[in-house]
Amino acid sequence: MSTDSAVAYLQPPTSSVLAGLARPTVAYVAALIIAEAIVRIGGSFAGAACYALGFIVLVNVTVLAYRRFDGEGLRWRLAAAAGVPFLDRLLVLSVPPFTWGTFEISALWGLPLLATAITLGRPPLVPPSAGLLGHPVSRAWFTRQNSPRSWILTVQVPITALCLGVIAAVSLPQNAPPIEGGPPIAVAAVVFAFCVQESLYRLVIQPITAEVWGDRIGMLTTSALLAFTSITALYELVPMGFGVVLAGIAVSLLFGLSTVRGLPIAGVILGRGLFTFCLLCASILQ
Amino acid sequence: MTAAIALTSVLGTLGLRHLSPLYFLPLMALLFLLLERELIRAFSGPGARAASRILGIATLPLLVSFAVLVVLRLSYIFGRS
Repeated sequence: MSTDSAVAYLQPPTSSVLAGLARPTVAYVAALIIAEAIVRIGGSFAGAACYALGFIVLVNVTVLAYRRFDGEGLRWRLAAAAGVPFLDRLLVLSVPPFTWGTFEISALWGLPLLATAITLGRPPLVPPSAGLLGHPVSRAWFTRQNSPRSWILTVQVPITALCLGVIAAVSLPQNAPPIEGGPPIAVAAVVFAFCVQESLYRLVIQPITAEVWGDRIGMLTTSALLAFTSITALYELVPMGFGVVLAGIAVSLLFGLSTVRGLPIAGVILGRGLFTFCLLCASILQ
Repeated sequence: MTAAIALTSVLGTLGLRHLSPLYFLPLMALLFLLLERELIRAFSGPGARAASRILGIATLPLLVSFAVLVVLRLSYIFGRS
């Protein structure tokens, strides 16, 4: 067995660690679901207020955990990562839309998310192995990085995402009103925002969850969180249908899997951009 | 009365009356975290410094969101005049 520290932390956690995190995890998921339900029932203002409250609570939990364990352990890092989806939803709901004449579209939330990704994606929160062009979350799975097969896999990620984007675009509800044709810069702003969101989750949250729960559960957790936030963000832009939701979940799992295999994160970000571009174009041209 | 008229005039000039209250939620969260940070900074010690640093990182995206709001309002005002 290797003694490499990058591999050692990915060992399955002990049962006591998992038992200690079970209640906070259930409370966290319940808080996310309740906040999103308030968005749908009570409107954007009430929902965004819930997300803002959740974000402030989680920031304070991070501070308390950091002080209690003197900056050691995983709990403060997990609390910090848990605040990101709340911040993400708060920004999606409350950052003013991109306006161009009479055209308005929610896209500018990518800028504060980019600031978050730059600030959080460095030590001590995230292991220093994270990077844009390939970051071995699991080095054990990454031994074929330089082989031609891995290059083909790298290219296949955005191509598969494009195919899923086309499937999602085809399955858009036909009777929904199309998006008013906006300038190309608006489409670029939306695609940029979703790419930043993808990079934030893959470069910041996935390494932390992998460290706590191991590679597979970390990948599934991050993909579920990203599917939740990206689909709810898409809900503000395009008419949603069952096919779009399924494609959104599938593409999040695909990107999670490719990240955990250590494929370059640039391919994942490109794939997210292509997926979003397909959906937007289909909704505009509908 | 004069103050109310002046306030209404300022709000009208800046176009703030047309802003949704939703846009001010990140600003409220930002103010809360900044206030908390200042209170924590009043205490000395490594714990307070670490807490202040964490709160500083948490306020950064909210600051950028506020900057986006300001830039949009300025572009609205200058685009209108």
